[in-house]
Amino acid sequence: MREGEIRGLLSICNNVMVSLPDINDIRRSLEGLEFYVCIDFFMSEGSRYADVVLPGSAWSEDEGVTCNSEGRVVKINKANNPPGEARADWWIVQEIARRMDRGKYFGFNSPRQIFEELRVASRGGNADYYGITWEKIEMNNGIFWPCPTEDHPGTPRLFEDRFYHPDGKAKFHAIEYNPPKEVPDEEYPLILTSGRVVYQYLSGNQTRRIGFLVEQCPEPYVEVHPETAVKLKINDGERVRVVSRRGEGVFPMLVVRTIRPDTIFIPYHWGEQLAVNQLTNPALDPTSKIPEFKACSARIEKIHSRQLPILGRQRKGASASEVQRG
Amino acid sequence: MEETMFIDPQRCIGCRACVAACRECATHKGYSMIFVDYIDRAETTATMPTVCMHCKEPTCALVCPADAIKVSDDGVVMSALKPRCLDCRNCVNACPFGVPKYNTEIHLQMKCDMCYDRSSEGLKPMCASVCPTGAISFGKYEQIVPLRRTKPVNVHVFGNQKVETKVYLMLPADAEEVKVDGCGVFEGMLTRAETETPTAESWIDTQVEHSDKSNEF
Repeated sequence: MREGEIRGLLSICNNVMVSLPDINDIRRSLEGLEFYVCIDFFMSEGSRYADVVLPGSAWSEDEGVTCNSEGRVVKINKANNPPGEARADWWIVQEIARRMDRGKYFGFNSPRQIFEELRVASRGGNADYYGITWEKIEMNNGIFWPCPTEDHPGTPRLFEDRFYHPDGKAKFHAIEYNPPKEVPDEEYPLILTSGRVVYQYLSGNQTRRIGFLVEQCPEPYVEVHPETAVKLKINDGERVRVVSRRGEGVFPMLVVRTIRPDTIFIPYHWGEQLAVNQLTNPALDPTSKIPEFKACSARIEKIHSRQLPILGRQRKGASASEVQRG
Repeated sequence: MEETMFIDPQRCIGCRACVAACRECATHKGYSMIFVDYIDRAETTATMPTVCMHCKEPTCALVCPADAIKVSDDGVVMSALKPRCLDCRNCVNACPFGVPKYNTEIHLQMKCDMCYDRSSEGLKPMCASVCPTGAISFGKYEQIVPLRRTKPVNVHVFGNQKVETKVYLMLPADAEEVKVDGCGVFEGMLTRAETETPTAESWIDTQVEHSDKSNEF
């Protein structure tokens, strides 16, 4: 997208303006697209850049299967219908194909038929779904892949007998340590790592709409070790500006001994000026292609409360100095 | 033995699923009766859930001038009865665990009643039914003991007062009772005040536990 090679984009439930690294660059890429279609069930920070937003379905508004990280395939049942003009995501994709005269490649009429296609497509592979049926999933509280035949019980624990290497053994590889693309220097002396809080889910597009969860964690903060805070002459609860080579943001500082003195942490579930992904580095791991969300270089700057954004003075837990001057 | 609650702070991950679920119990009128606190966020991520300990001789009921706090046959200490509660808040101030709160909107003392509408029918209290780690469990004493390396303890010593409770705390295996020696605590604070300032509470506590820190809803 950055190089202009990709000129159109259809994204399904993907809030890229929160969840991708270096969102200032992502914004430029989205604005450079000729056509951007977004299927989502709530408007999100990312869908604001779309030319067309199609209302899709939430997980409880459609049925189907999902596989969790232990390899257990579970069935999700439909609890209610998508409201108003919203439609099931698969129906939208199929309808787009039909109107583009490619309907013959999307010949299914239900989630079950899509699942049947997955069964056949995965047959003989490592994640073999062929022997899994919806009835079996419901009867057994989920089925673990691989499950090659209909009378196969599934594989709750992989590699019990042998690994997939020809000699049946697992292999350990010694890996040369490669530092992240950015390492701390004089200008940006701290390692910034981003992550999650338990009260918010992914890009927060669902959980930031639920009052109870917002109360638990209304906005991001920056965790800093007391040694670092003393060096910076900044107190717990004060707002600070966190700056990297790509962007900056203002966050209240939480001084805790539960983080390393050379590292700071900011949770990522928010967009725009609250997004830690204004700062993060889009450099990719050479093998897994995962961006370096967990390590980029940053510095912390003290700011005066007059410069604070308005929301800072209204929040619960604002430091005493903020409240007085606000 | 009858079913009761077992609180294991070692297992608490601070997710507050219990707080969210507690509000949904029919007898709680939309308020959460369970509190999850950071022990000291500046030093550790450790958290601790607090429910009513359901004392064998409940101080809250003993100090109530209107006899508004009743105890069920199976030892569950109830919230104050609405027609009787005088808004005096004796119970709020007297509870050694700091559990009951005064609801200023409906003029009523409210506290954890072990989801009596549920637990009296054989269902788990809301908190125990959602806790993902077993920090809050509901069951029989003889069921929980073989499952844990920790030991259920239900005797709490507050200075000269010994309180026996229906709810158990899971403690290291050599613990016999929970000692909160009031005199010792105060002496300790006096000597510490001369040498250092007490650690200020982290602002993140105040943010997420706004209602927990006050004895009012």
